[in-house]
Amino acid sequence: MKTAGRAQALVIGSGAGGAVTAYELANAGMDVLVVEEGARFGLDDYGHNCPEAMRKLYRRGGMTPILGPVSIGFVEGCCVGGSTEINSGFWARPIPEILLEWKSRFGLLDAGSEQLEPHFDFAEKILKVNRVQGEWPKSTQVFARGIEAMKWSAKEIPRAAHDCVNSNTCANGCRRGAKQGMSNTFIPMAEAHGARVWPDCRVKRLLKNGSLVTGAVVERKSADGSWETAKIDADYVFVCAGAIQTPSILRRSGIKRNIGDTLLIHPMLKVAARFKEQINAGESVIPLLQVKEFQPEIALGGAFFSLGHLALLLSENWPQTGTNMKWHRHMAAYFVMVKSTGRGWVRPSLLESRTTFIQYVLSRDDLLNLRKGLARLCAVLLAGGAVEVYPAVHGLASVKSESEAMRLLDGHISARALSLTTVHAFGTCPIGEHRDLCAADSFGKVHGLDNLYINDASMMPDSPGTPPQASIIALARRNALHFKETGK
Amino acid sequence: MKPGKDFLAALIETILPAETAGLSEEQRAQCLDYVRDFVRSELADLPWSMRALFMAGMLFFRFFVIITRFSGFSRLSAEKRRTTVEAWAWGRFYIARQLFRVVRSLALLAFYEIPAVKAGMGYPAARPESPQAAK
Repeated sequence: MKTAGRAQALVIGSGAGGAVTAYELANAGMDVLVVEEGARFGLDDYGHNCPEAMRKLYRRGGMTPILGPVSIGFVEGCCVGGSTEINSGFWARPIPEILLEWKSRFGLLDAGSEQLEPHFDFAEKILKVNRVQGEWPKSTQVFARGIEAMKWSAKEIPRAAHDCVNSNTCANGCRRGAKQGMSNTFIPMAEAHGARVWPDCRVKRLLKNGSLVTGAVVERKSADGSWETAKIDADYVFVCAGAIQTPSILRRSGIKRNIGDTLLIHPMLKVAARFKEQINAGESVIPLLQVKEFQPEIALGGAFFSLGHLALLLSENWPQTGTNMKWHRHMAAYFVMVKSTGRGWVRPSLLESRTTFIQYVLSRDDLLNLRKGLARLCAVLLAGGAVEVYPAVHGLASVKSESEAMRLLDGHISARALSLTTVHAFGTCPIGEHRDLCAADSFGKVHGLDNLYINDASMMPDSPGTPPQASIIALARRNALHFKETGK
Repeated sequence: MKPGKDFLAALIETILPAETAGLSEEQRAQCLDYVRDFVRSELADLPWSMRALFMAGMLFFRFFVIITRFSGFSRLSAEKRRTTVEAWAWGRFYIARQLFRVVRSLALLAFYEIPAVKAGMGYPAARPESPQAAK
């Protein structure tokens, strides 16, 4: 087989985990090669409408559903920068109790709040993490009004964004470059230290020789658009392809112990709320407050809004709710997100090399928390001045009063009536010293192999209870520095 | 393996609102073509097994329409198409809703993201240009 290249450190994936790994290793003087399945885009390619962004920036055009008794919409980025190019840039450190739980349940060493603090500090400086300057957008103000009326605790979530002008294109790529995705932060920083980045280069499987991984078989797009199979030789391999693709690559390579068996997600249910006053959510950034009162089990917050996304939200009861599209200036979108307690798994397809099957079964607690969260979300929005709330629940076209909302707590909502989505997946290759539960040691070195590392969302043993970007970056940097210091 | 263009166009036309402010007949036809092409390309991105299930489900739907309405779906009147699609896409049977969920979601998302549709509804145009583009 033709050899396409060689590197001291081969980093597979350029998202939150891969970009940070590449930077730290290149900064230490290593010869680093980053391979990314998706293409590399400039700012001019960003910020177009949702269908174009889906075709360009999302894996399989966004058609990667999680299967199960109730299917769940799931999307992830597939471009240089990974999902950091299409997320909202929310930045939240994990809840300290959860880190303690990881230590006791999985034997995860040196990952307490204190040990991670310098890594959060470092990343927050690089990514210019800050709170909104000036007045909150209207969609946040009305949410705040409701939260105050309910006397709940809430917090503005900072964002990895700098000079954001509310162009509301986070999910389509930030055309201004205000959002600090990996493509305009850690990737160029890694390149400045000599790292090479190969976009349009997909890893089929890893090459092994005993307990050593010697490289990877890749498909690389050539100048004429065809895909060529070749191999890349490497001394060390860091798999950072995300919570879905990392276990898929490992399992295709015959590495299966505790790999891909423990998928966790944050199931999310969205609602649209119509207010008396104009909100103009399409002209502002996503609502910035999150209700902390019920965390870590239940989080309430703001969701991305566009005309297309509003139609999507109303589509569960479109014959009854479709006419409300005319109120779009009075509407905003919000979510209830729960810390999953169900079980899921990830498996590569035997028939299609580019397909990975994802399955997740909601637990009774997930459903209960979603129902509780929905009732509370409707109540807080109505308390904030919403005239009507439209949940993405089949058969529940709208909620108009707080008593109606509270009835949801006792009533029955079928799981199959829920239109669930998620953008947070993790836990498919847990790290820790408990070999019976974990795929890799506390610093991401895969058990039983001498030079293979995992360094992305898949390594988080459980939900961080917050948007995972900050946790991924801090853990990835911690692991990369540990590798630099110890050589293992 | 993709659904026929005519069938898909008829299905999408039925799902989308019959009238949209500010759109001429010609613009509406262009919008429908855009949505149909987007939905077709998205369906093609589904994993093979799911695509096969979707195609089988749609074949069953078309067959069901023929034996209950004595006509192909594309040849039904607009009103009959609407009631048929509503019964499947928003009806009580989960499997039928799931079958239509993907098409209805993609069609509605794509339609309402078209600049002419947004403009017709008074939705703000995309802004601003990237620093590079401005140079």
